[in-house]
Amino acid sequence: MFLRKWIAIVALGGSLALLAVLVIKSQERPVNARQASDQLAQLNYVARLSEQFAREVARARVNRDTTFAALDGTVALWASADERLASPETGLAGQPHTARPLRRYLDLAARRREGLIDFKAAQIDFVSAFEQLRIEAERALGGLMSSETDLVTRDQIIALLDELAIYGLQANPNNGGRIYSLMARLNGALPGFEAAARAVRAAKDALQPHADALGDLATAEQLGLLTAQVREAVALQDARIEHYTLALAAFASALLLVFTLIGLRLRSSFTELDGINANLEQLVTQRTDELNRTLQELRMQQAHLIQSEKLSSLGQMVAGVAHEINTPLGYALSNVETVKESLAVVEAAGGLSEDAQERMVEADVLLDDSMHGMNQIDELVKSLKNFSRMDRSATEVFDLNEGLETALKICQNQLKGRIDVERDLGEIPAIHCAPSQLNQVFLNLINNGAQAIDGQGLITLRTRHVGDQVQVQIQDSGCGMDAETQAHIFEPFFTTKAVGEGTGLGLSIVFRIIEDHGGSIEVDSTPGQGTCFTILLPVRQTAPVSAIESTAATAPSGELGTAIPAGA
Amino acid sequence: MESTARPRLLFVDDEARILVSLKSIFRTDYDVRTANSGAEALDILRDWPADVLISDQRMPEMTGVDVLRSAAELRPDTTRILLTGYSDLEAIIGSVNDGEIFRFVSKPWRRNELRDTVAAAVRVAARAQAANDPSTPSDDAPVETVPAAPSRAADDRTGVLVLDADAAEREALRHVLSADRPVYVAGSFYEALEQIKQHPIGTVITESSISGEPVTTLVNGLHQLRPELVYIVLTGQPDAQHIIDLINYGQIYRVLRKPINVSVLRGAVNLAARRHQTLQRQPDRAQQMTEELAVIPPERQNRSLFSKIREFLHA
Repeated sequence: MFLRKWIAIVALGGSLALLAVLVIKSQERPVNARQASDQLAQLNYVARLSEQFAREVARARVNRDTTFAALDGTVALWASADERLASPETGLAGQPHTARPLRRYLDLAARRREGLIDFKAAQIDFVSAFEQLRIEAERALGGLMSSETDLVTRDQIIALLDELAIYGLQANPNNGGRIYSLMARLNGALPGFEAAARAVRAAKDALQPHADALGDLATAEQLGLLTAQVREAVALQDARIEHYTLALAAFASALLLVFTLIGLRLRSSFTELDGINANLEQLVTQRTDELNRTLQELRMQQAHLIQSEKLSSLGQMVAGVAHEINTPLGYALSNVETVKESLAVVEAAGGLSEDAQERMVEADVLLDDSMHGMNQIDELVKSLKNFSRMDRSATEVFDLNEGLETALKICQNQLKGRIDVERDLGEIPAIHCAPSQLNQVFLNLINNGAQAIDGQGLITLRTRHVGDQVQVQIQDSGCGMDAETQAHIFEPFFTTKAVGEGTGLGLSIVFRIIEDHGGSIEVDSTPGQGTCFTILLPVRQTAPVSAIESTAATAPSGELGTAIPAGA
Repeated sequence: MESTARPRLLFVDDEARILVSLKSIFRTDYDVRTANSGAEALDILRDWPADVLISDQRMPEMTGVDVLRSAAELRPDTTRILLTGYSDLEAIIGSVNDGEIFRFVSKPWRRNELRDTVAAAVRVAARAQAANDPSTPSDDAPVETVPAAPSRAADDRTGVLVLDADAAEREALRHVLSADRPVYVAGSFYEALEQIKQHPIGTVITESSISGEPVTTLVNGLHQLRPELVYIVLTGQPDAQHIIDLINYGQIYRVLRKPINVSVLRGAVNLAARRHQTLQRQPDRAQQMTEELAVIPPERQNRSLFSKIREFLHA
């Protein structure tokens, strides 16, 4: 678990770090692109300035300019542009692929601008030489007449001037030769003019290399190289960024895929979890139900135990009481009978006074009453014995009408003078049952009925033979109960009586006993009118009876010998 | 009763008032003696052969069953009655097996009923004495405390009937008993009647109830049909009242509780066989005992079975 947690954390950290790197790498472009375009613009500007410089030089030569105003302005702009180009913020100097071409270019550019000083001086010389030539030419032409010779000379002078002008602008291979031949034709006729012409030519020759040096295109070449370098760097970076972008896209796709998978997995997990939850709830409900059932069963068993304990102690008590009562009852009853007999003998003998005779009659009545009383005691003890069923077999064929009578006798005290009992006992077959238990049922129900009746009332006992069942109804004219109470009366420990007056076990035991007999019990009650319990019991219920008999009677041939001697 | 000597009754009870009361009932017609304890009763019995011994069960030192057992050894011909306010099951079973009582009477007794019972007991005692007087007395000892080895005499071939609704149990019993004597089995009352009619049977071993119906009526009825039959009752869930009924209405010889010990069963069957032989030799005595059985109250009789038995009786 620990390891898995760490693996997950490391994987998450790693993928996040990779994502960050890719994003940063692919986002470099704006900064570098701006710099690169800036660099390219500057390079372009510088190139244009250097071209303009060349043009200005050419123009200065054609115009035979000696002020160099425009040229100086261009130089100043170019120099400052170069300076910016070399500055760190442009970035060219700091990058390995541009640093060297930049240095070379700057050197060349600086040299070209330095060459301007020599050019200027040579230009001034040339311009002044040409001025001198013009003056000399005017002078020479002024001295000529309209003679034929002079006309030739004049043409020669003009031709020479033309040639020199062309030479001064753009020397070509023929210029030099023609100048020399024209000068030779003059043949020293005009020495001043000739000297000036020679001076012009010499000035032009001195100027030419300086002009050539200024027009050198090496700077353009270097600039082109620089531009190419910058472009290449941009392209390279573009390619790299494209790589990263591609990688980012791929990675994002992969991540997306992973998330999708995780999402799917999560979804299935949730579905599963939902299922498990539902299942769990069901399981909990089921377990709760089971527990409730067990609790109910335990309560039932507890109630049953308490009841058997009560019955058992009642049985033991009855056993002791029966002996203790029956012994004195035995001689008392017998003696009364004997005395009655003796009195009869005495009376028969005669000779009694009237008073004695009267007393004799009275004594006879009193003795009859005593016998009646003692017979009642005897009946009660017998009922108690019957009720407790001490030393009686648990199940037998039993007449429920008899059971009802026994129960009535036991609770006579509760009913006497207050409650009438109506017996509507039908012809019912004796049924296989546990008489002691059913007696208990009847006693409980009759007692409950009696307790439900406040003051005078009626309890009706009804028995019927219905199909293969016997129906017993115990109805009272008592206070009745509401539906809520009816729903709970058969639950153990449910009681409507005050604490200490009832255990709340009576009806749960009744229910249990009837259930054990394979029967059913129903309650029908109307508040204020009374309650009727209806019990249905099968006439013949093989299961419990045979079970009890067979457990007691397991003595197959092989086990007879090992059996315990009993009853000896 | 018409003889010169009045029948002798011995009452035993730890409650003196009981004794006074009983004496008041019987003293005019009987020679009555009373004892406050079992030991005293046995002392009296040694010198004074009572016809009937009537004992309480719950007494200090010696219980009624102990007294009856010792009395049976001492005076086999004395008829024994248990008169008790309440007896637990063990006492009732003991009164049959050890005391071999004639009747079980509950307190409080009805004066007239007790008189009738005592009179019947006296008649039975008289028969027994008459039967035993001329012949050898050892031949009819009603109680043999040690199970005697089965005598293999030729006349000891009367059979045993096993009446049990459970076939497996029937077979188990047959298996155990068939080594000694012929065993016949029956699963119902009617089968039992058929078997008794067809085979020489001396002892009936029966469940206390067959299919939920107590055997009391059957045993009572069979007494009329075959007075010399001897009954051993097997019971899994003994019912005190039921056994008392079997004593009073059926004069059963033994009650054995399940699970049954085989050697106890064999011993009981051997004793029953000897008892049967005795009764066969003394038909008057057997007849007398049948006549002196208590009468089942009409409301408790199984009429259809009763008439069936009657049919057999007259067939």
